[in-house]
Amino acid sequence: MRAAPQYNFQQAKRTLTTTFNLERWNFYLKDYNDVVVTAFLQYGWPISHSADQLPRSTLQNHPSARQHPSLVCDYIAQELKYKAVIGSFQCNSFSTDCVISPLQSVAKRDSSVLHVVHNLNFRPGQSVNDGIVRDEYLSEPFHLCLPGIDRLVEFINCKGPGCLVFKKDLKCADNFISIPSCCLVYIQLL
Amino acid sequence: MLFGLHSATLACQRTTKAVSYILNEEGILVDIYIDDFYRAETQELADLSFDRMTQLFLELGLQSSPDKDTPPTHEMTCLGVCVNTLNMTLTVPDF
Repeated sequence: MRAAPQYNFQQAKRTLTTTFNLERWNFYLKDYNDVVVTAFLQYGWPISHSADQLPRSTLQNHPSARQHPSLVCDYIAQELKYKAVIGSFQCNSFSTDCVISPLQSVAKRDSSVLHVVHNLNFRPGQSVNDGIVRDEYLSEPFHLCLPGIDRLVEFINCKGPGCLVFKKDLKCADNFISIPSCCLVYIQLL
Repeated sequence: MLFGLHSATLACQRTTKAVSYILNEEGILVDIYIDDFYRAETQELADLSFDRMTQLFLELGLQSSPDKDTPPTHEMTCLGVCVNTLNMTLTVPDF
């Protein structure tokens, strides 16, 4: 049984290295009902793993990754470049046990180009994701609601026929969400 | 944070939802699907809204992906659906 963790945003409050202009976020969001978002951006988003036991490590990547070593090397090099991963380590550098989940390579739909994926669902029943409860975050209920096309249709109906539509994408969205150091033990890779 | 984590989508959506709140407060009604902001606007105001989104991302320190942007147009694919505002249709592109 593990003690409930004290997260950086609750206690130590060490500001993470970030490209965010936190002053501007705080300025704009001072009246926002989910203002804790700014604290998570500043101190890291805990992964919200709540299982009593550490997930089980897998000390070998999936065959689909082992068959493409250069692809895996390129992936790790790119993640290092974006500062999305740290390392490499020759041994466990943490003060607690850590969890290694396997890499795999998969092709996106309608494409033969392979991408490397960190399989945090492996092994079923003992994986990192098995310890993250859906519809809650840090033990508080939180239902993630993703929109459908209906809202855009609503906008279009409001503006009328002939209006213009547009969209903007964020770059590397998975990399701009930093996690606190106490959670790093859960997402090790080989 | 890796998108393979169950909590990553939640963290990303909460972050970008906060950005959409800022725009909504300025009268620019946008919606957001994880990292994809979208909106409809009149021809007169579309460029202004689009530019404000670009400016706000820069101001907050968010990196955008201009090559994936769709500037104001009458037709775009959003959430896998092709939207056309001239003939007011939604179609699913061929796979």
